[in-house]
Amino acid sequence: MENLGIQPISLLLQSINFLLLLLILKKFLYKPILKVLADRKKKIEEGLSYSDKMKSEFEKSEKKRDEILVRARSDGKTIIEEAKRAAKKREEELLEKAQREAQEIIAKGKREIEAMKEDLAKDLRREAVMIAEKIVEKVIKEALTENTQKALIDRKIKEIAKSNI
Amino acid sequence: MKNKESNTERAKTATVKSSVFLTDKQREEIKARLEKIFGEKIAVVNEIEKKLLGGFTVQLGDWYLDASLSLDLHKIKEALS
Repeated sequence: MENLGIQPISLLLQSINFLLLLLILKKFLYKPILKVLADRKKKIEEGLSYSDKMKSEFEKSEKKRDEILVRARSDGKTIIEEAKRAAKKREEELLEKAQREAQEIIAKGKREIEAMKEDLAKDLRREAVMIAEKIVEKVIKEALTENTQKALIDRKIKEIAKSNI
Repeated sequence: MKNKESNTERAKTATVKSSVFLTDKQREEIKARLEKIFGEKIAVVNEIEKKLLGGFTVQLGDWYLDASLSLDLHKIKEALS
């Protein structure tokens, strides 16, 4: 070793120095750095995990929102259709009711007109009969002579005889 | 013609109302008819009633016979009304 220019003692001392330096560095520099790195790695991992979790929650929320929207659209559509059906049914009922009432009013009007016509016809007939009666009475009084009156009495007597009174 | 009959006691005198006076023959015919109906002697009194227009009515107690023209006219009026 000496032929190579290497002093054993010096090599030994240098080795000891190196080991000491290695120990010192390990104790006071590597460990804190490694700890900081480990802590940082842990934080990053936690951050990533939180991020994944948040992402998953967000996706769940989005999915849930979409489902709610789809359901709401479906429910809304159903409600609108039901409302349309109910409105149409109500419209038909009202129309039918209005038609029925109109028919009743027309029928009632016709009945009243018929009744008025009948009353008018009865009044006219009654008046006509009364006038005719007055005329007939007047004509009879003027037309029947005493002889015809007596002939009429004869005829009535014969009628009574025939009727077995 | 119309007549009404009841079981109540009848008067023996019949009142015959006519638009003109009855002839003797008519009076006798009516009297004979009444006596036949009631089976007893009946006296006939004749009165003038212009409202009858023609023909005659007979009232004997509550028995009544209407053979007047006014009744015929009334029947026609009822039929037309």
